[in-house]
Amino acid sequence: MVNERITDSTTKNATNDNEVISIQNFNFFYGPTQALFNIDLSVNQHTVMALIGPSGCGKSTLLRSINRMNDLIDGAYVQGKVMVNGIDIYDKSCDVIELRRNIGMVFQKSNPFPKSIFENVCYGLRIAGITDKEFIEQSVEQSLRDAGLWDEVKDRLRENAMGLSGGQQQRLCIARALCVKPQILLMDEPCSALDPIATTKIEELIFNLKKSYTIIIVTHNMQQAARVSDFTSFFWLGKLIEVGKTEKIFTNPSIKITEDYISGRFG
Amino acid sequence: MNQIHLDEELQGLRTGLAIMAGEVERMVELTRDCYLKRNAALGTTVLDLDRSIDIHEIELEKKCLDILALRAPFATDLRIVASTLKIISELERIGDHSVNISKRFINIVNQPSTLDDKWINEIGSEALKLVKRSFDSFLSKNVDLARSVITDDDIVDKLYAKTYDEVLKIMQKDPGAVERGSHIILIIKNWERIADQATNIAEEVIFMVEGHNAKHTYLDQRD
Ligand SMILES: Nc1ncnc2c1ncn2[C@@H]1O[C@H](COP(=O)(O)OP(=O)(O)O)[C@@H](O)[C@H]1O
Ligand SMILES: [Mg+2]
Repeated sequence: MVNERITDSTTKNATNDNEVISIQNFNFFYGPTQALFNIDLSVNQHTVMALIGPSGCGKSTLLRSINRMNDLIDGAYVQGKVMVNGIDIYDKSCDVIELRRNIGMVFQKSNPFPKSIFENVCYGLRIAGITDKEFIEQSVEQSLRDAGLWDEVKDRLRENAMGLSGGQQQRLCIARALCVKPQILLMDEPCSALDPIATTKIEELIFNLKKSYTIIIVTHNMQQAARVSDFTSFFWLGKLIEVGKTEKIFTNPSIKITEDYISGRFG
Repeated sequence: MNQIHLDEELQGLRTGLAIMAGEVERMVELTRDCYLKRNAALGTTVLDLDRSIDIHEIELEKKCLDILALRAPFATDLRIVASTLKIISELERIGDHSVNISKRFINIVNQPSTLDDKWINEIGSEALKLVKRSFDSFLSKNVDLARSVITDDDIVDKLYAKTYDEVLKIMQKDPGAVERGSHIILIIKNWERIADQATNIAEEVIFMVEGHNAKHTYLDQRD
């Protein structure tokens, strides 16, 4: 039952043309412990994919596998492929710095640096060695606009970012991710520390961002997954149980465990 | 994790719907019997029951909306609430059609009968069968039974067409039959609508159980 994997035929057909990420027979190990088992998942350009499932099922591990953030963990290794734009990111030839520029990441806890709002946003450009002042200023403004934060901070760009509210800090982190012009955004429970209003702002932002970005979001909030995503994948014990169009998963999932999980009858 | 409250509320919805359906079934049966048994009093009872149906509809609709707003159900739970919302409005309309028929029966039931008895009773009995079967399919979540309602709707459609033609012929021959004939045409039209509503309920049952729309299946092929 657990090994059965249902892929909505509509998902499959759509992958051919616009596929940006293709995870193929992917396994992940923390040393002796296997955290992900034979994952096959593809994500299309300018769509939002939600990853849902109980804590510890491997959602964050999978997310971090897509921009090789797991490389830093001692003893961790992978099997299988993660293709981004048709290139195997675990191949030796992959430029990891460029990969991480192309794939931005936003975490559960907003993590602004104790610097000015401006310096937080342009951080990625600075470490990439960019010095063109005008370019940096334009990029910062554009990123803050895209993150829906510009109007709130435009008069205080030199103030310390730690003075922003939680919701503003999270949007600042999104602006920081956007500033290096990535193609893909990975979001790991980006709203779990936010109040409902700040959450709504981030959700609206995600909706707008998907016009230009491909987004994968981990969320524990079923309503949020239903509201923001085009596709939803359900993970359980390191396995991808079911993936399909979000409206299908939330109205008529094919697998019993998925149904039990989303309708709150798990375990 | 558990959903004790949601489960209780869904059970309450189901019970409420069963009670409402039971009353509607009684209205339909009394309507048919009003003419079959030549008893105008049965028709009057139908008119009295109608108010109770409206109250059930309002109460159940509120319960559904409360569950949607407060419990935000998904998957099967969501489908149960969505189908209940639609089924209660179908039930309410079946009640309305029974009232329409009963009012006309009250007018004509004591007049000297003509050829039309057999047809009127037949279309009424067939429609009543579909109503009962659609309710049973809901209570037993039996999709095969629901599908048989959709198929057998045809029987009522054909009876309607046949009776309509016959009544028209009689009215053309005998101008004195026009008043009674026009009552009868409206009566059979209402029976035909009741059978359609039973079909709609059967389609909701299929959606609730299987998760796909049983209506207009040709539309599904677009996806
Ligand atoms: N750095 C790590 N070292 C060893 N095991 C880990 C590490 N990070 C996560 N895990 C384990 O891998 C599994 C998946 O974790 P994770 O991807 O964080 O799940 P999720 O994000 O779905 O809650 C869990 O059993 C967790 O304990
Ligand atoms: Mg996690």
